[in-house]
Amino acid sequence: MKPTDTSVDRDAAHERLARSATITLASQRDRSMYAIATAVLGVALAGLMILSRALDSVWQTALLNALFLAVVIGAEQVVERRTKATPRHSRRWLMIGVGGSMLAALFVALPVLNLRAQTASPSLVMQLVAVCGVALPCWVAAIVISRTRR
Amino acid sequence: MTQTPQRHARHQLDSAIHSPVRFSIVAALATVDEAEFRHVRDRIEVSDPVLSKQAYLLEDAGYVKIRKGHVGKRPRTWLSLTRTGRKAYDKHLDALRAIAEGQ
Repeated sequence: MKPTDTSVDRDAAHERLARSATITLASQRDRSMYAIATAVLGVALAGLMILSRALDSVWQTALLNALFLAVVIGAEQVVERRTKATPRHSRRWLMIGVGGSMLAALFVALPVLNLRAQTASPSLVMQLVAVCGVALPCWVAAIVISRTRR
Repeated sequence: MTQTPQRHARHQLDSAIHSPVRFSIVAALATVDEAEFRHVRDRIEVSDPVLSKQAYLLEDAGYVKIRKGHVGKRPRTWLSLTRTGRKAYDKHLDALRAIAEGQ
């Protein structure tokens, strides 16, 4: 790259700082799309967890996993088609949300439901609470993504 | 004991970022993780060739990453700032602030 004259006066510095503070590429629509995708992934993960407990056939489990994969790929495709920019830190929050949901499923919801299943079948309310508990990290991440301004 | 003379803040300005178009590109990309080429072009109001040339210059400097792919059958290009680019931009802004404050 050619060396350029980097001299700049105070007014020019003010003007550039003002420009840098106002320019933005991510719209509210972009943020909403990423937030919705994150929330949907949380529900899909929770659904995968609950439904996989109810299935005993290998084929049914394989079909359920394929369905989950389709939801993930579909969400990714919709987001890529409908957004023009990836809001700052939204991917990081998405990964934090999905990671948190997976941890909640593996180390809290599934052990509790399996423990309960040893004496009686978990009630519908208990399963609903488990679904919400698993999806919660993704929902929190979705709120953070939608509320981040820049 | 000798004291090192303090250099004027303009010496801290990054020549790769300093040009108006490149500054706008970097300033815009600093607000996102990644953005589509056409969207950046529209927001900073430059033509395709101008953005392309300046983006490649920034890529050569190690400040911008250019990713090419497809959405459906349509080819798309995405631009993002590298970690080095973000650090350089922050340093450039610090120098501008120092100049604005008359240091």
